[in-house]
Amino acid sequence: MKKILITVAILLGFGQILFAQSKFSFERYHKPHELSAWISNLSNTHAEFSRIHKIGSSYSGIPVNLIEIGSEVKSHEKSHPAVFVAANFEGTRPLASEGALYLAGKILENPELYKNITWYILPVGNPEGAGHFFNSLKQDDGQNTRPFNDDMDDAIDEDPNEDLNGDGFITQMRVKDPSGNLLPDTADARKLRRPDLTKGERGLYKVYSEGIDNDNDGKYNEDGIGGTNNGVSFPHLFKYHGTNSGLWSGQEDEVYGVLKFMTDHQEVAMVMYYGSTNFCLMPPRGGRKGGNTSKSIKVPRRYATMIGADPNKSYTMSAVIEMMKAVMPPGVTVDESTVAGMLGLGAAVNPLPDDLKFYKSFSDKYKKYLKKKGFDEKRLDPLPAKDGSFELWCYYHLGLPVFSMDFWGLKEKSLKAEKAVGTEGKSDGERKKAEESAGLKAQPSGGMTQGNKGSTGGSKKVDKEKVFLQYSDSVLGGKGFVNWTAFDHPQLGLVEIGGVVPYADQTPLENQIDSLLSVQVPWVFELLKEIPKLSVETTKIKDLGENIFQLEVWIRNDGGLPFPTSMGKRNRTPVPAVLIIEGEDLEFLSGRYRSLLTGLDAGKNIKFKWLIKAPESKELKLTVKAMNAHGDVSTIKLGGK
Amino acid sequence: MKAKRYLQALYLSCMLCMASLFSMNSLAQKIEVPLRFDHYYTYDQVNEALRALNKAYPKMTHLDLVGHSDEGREIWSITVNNPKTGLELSKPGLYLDGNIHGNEIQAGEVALYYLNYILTNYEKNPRVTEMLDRTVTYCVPSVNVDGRYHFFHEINVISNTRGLRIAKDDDKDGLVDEDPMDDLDGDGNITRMRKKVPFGDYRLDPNDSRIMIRVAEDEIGDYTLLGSEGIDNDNDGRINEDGVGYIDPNRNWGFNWQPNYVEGGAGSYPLEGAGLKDLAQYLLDRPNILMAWAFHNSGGMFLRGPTSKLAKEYDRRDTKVYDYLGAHAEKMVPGYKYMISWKDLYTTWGDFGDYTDNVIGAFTLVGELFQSNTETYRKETAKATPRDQRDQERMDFNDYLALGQMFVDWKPYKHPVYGDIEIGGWTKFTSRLPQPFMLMDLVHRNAMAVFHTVDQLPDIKIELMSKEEVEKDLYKIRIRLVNKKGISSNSYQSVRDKIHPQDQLILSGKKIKVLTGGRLTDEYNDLVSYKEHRPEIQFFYIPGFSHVEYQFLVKGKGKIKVEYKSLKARNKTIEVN
Repeated sequence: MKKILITVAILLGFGQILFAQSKFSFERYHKPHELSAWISNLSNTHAEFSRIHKIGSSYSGIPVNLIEIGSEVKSHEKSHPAVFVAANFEGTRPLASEGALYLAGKILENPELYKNITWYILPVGNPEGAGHFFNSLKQDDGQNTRPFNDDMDDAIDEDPNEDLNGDGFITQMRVKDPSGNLLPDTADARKLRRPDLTKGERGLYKVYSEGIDNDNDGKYNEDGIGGTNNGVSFPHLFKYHGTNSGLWSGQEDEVYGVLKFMTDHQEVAMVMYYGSTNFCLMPPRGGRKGGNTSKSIKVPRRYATMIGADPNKSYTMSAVIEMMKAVMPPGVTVDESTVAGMLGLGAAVNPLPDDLKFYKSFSDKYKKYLKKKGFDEKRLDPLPAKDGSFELWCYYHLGLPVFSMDFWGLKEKSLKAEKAVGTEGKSDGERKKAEESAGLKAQPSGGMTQGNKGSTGGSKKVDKEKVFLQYSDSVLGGKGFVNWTAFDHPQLGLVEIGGVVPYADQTPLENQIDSLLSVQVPWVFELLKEIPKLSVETTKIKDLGENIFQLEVWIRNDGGLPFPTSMGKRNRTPVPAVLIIEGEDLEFLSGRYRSLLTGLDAGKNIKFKWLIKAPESKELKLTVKAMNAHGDVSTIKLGGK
Repeated sequence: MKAKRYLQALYLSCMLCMASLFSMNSLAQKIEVPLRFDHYYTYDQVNEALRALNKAYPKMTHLDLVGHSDEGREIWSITVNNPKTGLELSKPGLYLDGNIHGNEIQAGEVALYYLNYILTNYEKNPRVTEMLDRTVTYCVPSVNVDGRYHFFHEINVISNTRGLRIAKDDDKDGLVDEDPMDDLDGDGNITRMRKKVPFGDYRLDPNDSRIMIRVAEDEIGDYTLLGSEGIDNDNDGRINEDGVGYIDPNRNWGFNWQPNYVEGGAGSYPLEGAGLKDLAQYLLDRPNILMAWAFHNSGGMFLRGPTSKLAKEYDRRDTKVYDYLGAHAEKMVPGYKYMISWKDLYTTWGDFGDYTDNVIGAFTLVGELFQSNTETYRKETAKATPRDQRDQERMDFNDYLALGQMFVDWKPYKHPVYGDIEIGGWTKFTSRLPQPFMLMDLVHRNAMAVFHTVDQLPDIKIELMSKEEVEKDLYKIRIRLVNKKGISSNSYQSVRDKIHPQDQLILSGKKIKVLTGGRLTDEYNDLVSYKEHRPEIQFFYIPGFSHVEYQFLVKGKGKIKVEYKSLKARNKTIEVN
């Protein structure tokens, strides 16, 4: 048994193969320090076009670096838009980091890819968590080493898991127990399921994670080593008082560093994240209750009197905006943010409908792209983004279009999705109710059905474990699962130890790395073309005599993405574009030297108008300054002087 | 026109010496203990005062550098502890700060006064002595040191040194801090601009043309107010729309933080701001802090959380403590109201109090100092002046009690955008700040409100209720823990949300084994809720003015050590023979 498991370990990349500095090959998974060394190596060999930024240090002091690639690496001020790529904040996704390295290599091979785009690539967002994958004892755990008293008792990190059967994996223990709530599945006895009480079935087993109760408090493995998981420690929907999110968002230095870096680099126009989600296939989910995207708003009494609302009634956002506008002095902007801020509605928690449009359209394009590459085998849905994740923060707080990739999912192959409840065609609310009444735990982020026909989307229950066991049997020769084997536990008596081998259900075999990345990574080069591109479409000049000119300019967004996203308009975080008109001795009779362009949807244009007195100028220079949307320069001739 | 003409000359002459009256010239006045409270302390003077206190009481105090501000200024704390009565971390802690809003300067004076009072009265006043021997005080008189510095040393208005010195694009035009207010008339004050117009919303008070009266709905005025002194620096058609900052240091803490479009004062991410981040760590390093006070101005309030409706009302077990402390504070400082932050005032996110409540596990009160209606000029002080006479009363207060220092009279000015205007109005040392002569009363009363809460930090007594031999070498032992003070040994919230480990009662001994143990719920009927695992260690907290009782069955002979361990209250040990 042990021998077989070791073989699996090697197959999965646990082998300690020496790292060759001179060449980076995608035949195995690399340790965080190898990845870090390799980006430094890349930067050294391409010093003209790249540099290393230190983002911060992990709790135990591991430096966290990113590589910048572009034609403007020497200057802090950027004129080109940037793509920020990060990987593996979860710490449990080694493939993601390989993807980031693969991307960096591909970019440096082709100067066209960084001529007008700056890249920031952070391959290891959670070095301490990522290191666990390479430990001789495998445990699916992305926490760092910061001591944390999970159970708030008299000791810290005192009750971790133990590898009781010595197979090198932390799996599970099942124990016969009168209060047991699981029983072996008749179809596959390896699997445990809940009993159907209506059929007179009874639970048989209680399940624990593998280990002993080190502190004799009746709880097993409740206070392991560490710590914070960077994958859930970003500000959007950050979980306070969580056992692995940290005390506040950004408590970990490297997370704080990312928050700061993104704030300081407003040229970032797009984010690509490699981890456990896949927004390229499946947009961020909606359906969450509350927040300022709420459809029914109650106005508290003190504001109700002020704006003439009924505190007992519910209003739509636009109705509240109208009421508020009526009482505000002219010139004061009243928008959704104003209302949300004043009424204390909190942040938006669902993707905005206009943003879902581009997500859907890009997802359709991506599926076609995959099909063309023969890569369209049906797979399990990617995981929904976690509260406090990096990708949600980028979208909700920075207002950036964020795409993510998990690169690999279990194939549905012979799978028949089991319909749990007949809820298709129902509204979100109805579906949720139906799910709840059917005893399904409502997904905290609800279901996103748009653009995901045939996927789970919350309406079908896919037996992930069943799919995994099929994969384990057919691809891993059954070695992805430790069969339940009796063990004499010092506290629980006779138990059986078994279960899914850590990482096996989310990490493909090493021989897959190259082929997975070579197909999926280049998609970002297609997405690049969608970055908003603001350019001067037409200019019209009309000589009104006496050196007075009427100037009309149409600016167009040639990108496939709106400038900025709908969420970006809502949170007003993306930096606006600016139109600047220069010439000798200009006088602006109407309009200004500097005009703001705060929003322009994909494929749309917008007109600006000036009345200029230009006695000395023969031509004007019009600059569209937009570090996050390319920008443009145009010269306008003034008459035939 | 009252004594206006004569007064006009007076306050013109006073204008130049205004700053020096409010902050005594540090060269002329050496700062010594006892500290004086007839003036405001500049940033440097606050630090000098801390050094003076430390020099006068070197054994009872020490200074620590909390960190640095965004402009690199040092943020200092002082710790007051009697080392003879125990280590700092062993005692229940008070954290006291002020001036997180840079312009709310008298908050710093309250902190300095408190320090000065307890130190100078130690071993003189028995209650001060008792309190100081049993608790530890951590104090940062000025948190927003950049704000405080600029309040004194920069031309400004009452509120524009409130935030952190981190440049932000307030008007979202791609430029940062490009259109601040300007001292157009060069008088050293930023006041207001008014203009005579055909269709105005104001008219001048016929009795005192310095006062502007808003016209009634059916009236047309002849004046309008044009905001604070300034020009359109960036030529965008708006005036003063992007000044210094703005991040509100009291909206950017790491708990219940919301982004800027939800909470207007928030920075780009939690704890953006070097000093805030340093202070967050400073507090984490002192887990014994159980009571926190943060002073602000103004309005006369003692605020407790929660700070937003979404955070839900505190548990009754905690509001009991707050209500007790709040009720006393209200009486100690007449006119001040004890309130719930979100409900009685407004919602805030990322509030400092959220952090101390929810991360440190401290009961937190925020003092909003000063009520402008105490600037009185009237016979009958018990009755409030009617609203429509308040402006006149305030102007009289300025004329007769502040000798014109508070107000700059309107003077004509040629504005590049508005043309002929007048500039004038209240100076920065008004509105939210008491005149120095009123400072003593303000700082003393508020410092005593703080004192009462420190006095009520838990004082736990451990006692053996009974020891009964049930059979040979089997003993039933009952232990009682009494809290003689009003503040519970942990907040209930910290127990519920697992903010930190609870109090512990631990039985140990060489020759004994604890067979069972648990909370004694009824000593007469011998009702015990036994703890299944590890009976020798019990977890709990002790409410204020209350007690808890535990019962153990112990096998064996010999001494039993009974230890009470608490992160917040003092550890206590007894031996049972």
